[in-house]
Amino acid sequence: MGRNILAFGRRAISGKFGRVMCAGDISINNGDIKSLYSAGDVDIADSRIKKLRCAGDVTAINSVFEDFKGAGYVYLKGMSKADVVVAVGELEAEFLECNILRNFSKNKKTKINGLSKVIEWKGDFKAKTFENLCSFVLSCKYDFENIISSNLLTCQDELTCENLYSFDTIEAETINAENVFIVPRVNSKVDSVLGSTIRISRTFKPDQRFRSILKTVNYRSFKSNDEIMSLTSIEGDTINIEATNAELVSGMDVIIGDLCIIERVEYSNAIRISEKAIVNEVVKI
Amino acid sequence: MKDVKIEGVGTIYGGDYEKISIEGIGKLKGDATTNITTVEGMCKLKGMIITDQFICDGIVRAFRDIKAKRVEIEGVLKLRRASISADSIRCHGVMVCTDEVSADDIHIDGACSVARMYGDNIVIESRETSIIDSQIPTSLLSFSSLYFGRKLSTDKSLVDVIECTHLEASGLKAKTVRAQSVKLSNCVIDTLDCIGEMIIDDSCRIGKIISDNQPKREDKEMANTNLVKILDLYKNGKITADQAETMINSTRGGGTPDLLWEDDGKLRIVAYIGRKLLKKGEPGYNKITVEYVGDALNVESYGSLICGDVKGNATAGSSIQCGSIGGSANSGGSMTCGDIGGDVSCGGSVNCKIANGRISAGGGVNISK
Repeated sequence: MGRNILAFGRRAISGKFGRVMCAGDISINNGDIKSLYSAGDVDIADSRIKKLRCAGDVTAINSVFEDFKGAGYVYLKGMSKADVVVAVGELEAEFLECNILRNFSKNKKTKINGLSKVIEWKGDFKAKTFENLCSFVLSCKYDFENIISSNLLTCQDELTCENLYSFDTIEAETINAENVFIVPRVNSKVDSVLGSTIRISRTFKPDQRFRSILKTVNYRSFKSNDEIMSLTSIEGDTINIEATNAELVSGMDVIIGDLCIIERVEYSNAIRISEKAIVNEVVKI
Repeated sequence: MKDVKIEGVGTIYGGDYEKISIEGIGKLKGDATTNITTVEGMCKLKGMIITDQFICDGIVRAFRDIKAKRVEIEGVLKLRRASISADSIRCHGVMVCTDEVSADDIHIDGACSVARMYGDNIVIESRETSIIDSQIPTSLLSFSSLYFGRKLSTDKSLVDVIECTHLEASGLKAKTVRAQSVKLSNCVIDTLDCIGEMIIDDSCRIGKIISDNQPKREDKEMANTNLVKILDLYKNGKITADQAETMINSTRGGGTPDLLWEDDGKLRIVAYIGRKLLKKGEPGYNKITVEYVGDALNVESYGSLICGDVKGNATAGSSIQCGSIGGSANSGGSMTCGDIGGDVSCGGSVNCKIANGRISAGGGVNISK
């Protein structure tokens, strides 16, 4: 294991280190660092850092991280890899590949001066799980297997992934995912939802699939208020919805739960309609 | 013209008659034209019959078409691969037709099983005892299709397709009903296509309602329909008052518009294309000029900015034209203003009176004291 460094002021290091604590700006070139704590700006090039905690701006070129948490402006140049990336603030990456990508602190009360209320990242991101914990505009290039959103998530075009769990307001023209779980929110703006299994429910209880998803936040069971989500169409194989106002619901096995207002329901196998729902037209296809 | 009457067993080979009367077991082997045809026993029609009155008190099996002015069925009339057309058909017994039944006026208060029924005014009142009255063993009804070619039901009249002007039915099971107006009770209909008045009892099960009015309905009307249904759910105690309110708000397009910011008291001037909020970075966003009259604390404009004094910072995606700026000033284009309290960052030229901070400009800097 390399030596530890406690640095004040501007420093430039390279080589193998254990713990590096820096109160000023630091520049790392060809470094292999076990943990780096910095209160200033960090410039990293061709380095490997296991644990990074930074309260200033980070600029990294072709570097690999295991556990990255930055609270300033993060710019990742070249191809960057990481296990967990938590960027509380602006993030720009030419290409970042990681297992878990999160955009805010677990503590929702965290306030960061100068940070915009709505965060928007730039670049190309690939992650197994993207956790959205703040108001976020997903306008960057992305390839996420799982998206777990517990704050406002806005996507201008089609929101695509394997598994989508949205616990708060969501805005997207189309949601296209294999498994979709949405907590209905009155301010959500979604035109259509396409998927294999689609569930819109006021009650969330982590199931086996959700438990198996890589994540950094502990999402517990909850029941939301009676809010009704409006959208145009829902098309899937298995559909189980409640508190939804939609023009068209089309699927193989369809369950229309409480507080639904559906103009037309198309089903091919089975249908169940709650007595607390309004369905104007039912068609077996 | 002469009459022909069969009281035992006999065969008629067709022709023109005044009256054909079969009281035993008869068979018509050729086409016949009559004024009155009555069957009180059993009859097999293998020729087409054209008559003014066709009265069936017994059992008639027809394999050729029947054309009549008035048809009365008290017994059983079975038409296989044959149709019946008349001015008026009244069926108090059982009528089974694998083809078409058409008449201006059709009144059925027995039982029927018909492939296609066309008429002007159709009344179907299914009577459960009609099959028992006609002495068809109900235990063998499941095999009815073997004999009749179609299924029979004790409690419902079965019709595949009905097309008429007005339909009044109770105890009808149909696949498709097309009518101008309907009055239905205890009916099961897969598709109801009605352009006029629809009176549908709660006991009915309608799969799909197609109405010319429906798709063209205004959203408001649709919302009103849903509103009535929501109130019904509330009246029936199925949903609470809060839930009803939530549902009503949803039908009225409840919810706030496309807002990406919090209710923080700041003045925001936004632009929409259609119902879509024009956001920073979208084509044309910087072509918009915002003009604000009066003092402002902090101003941030994605396009050009024209305003009075700004107490705080002023930021614009394009040019800035304003009075004095208390804080820093940032603009993508040129900047023309009074005193600037903070730093200046400008993509174009700067024209100001006093700048207390650093100045960074892509063009010329002109400070006029």
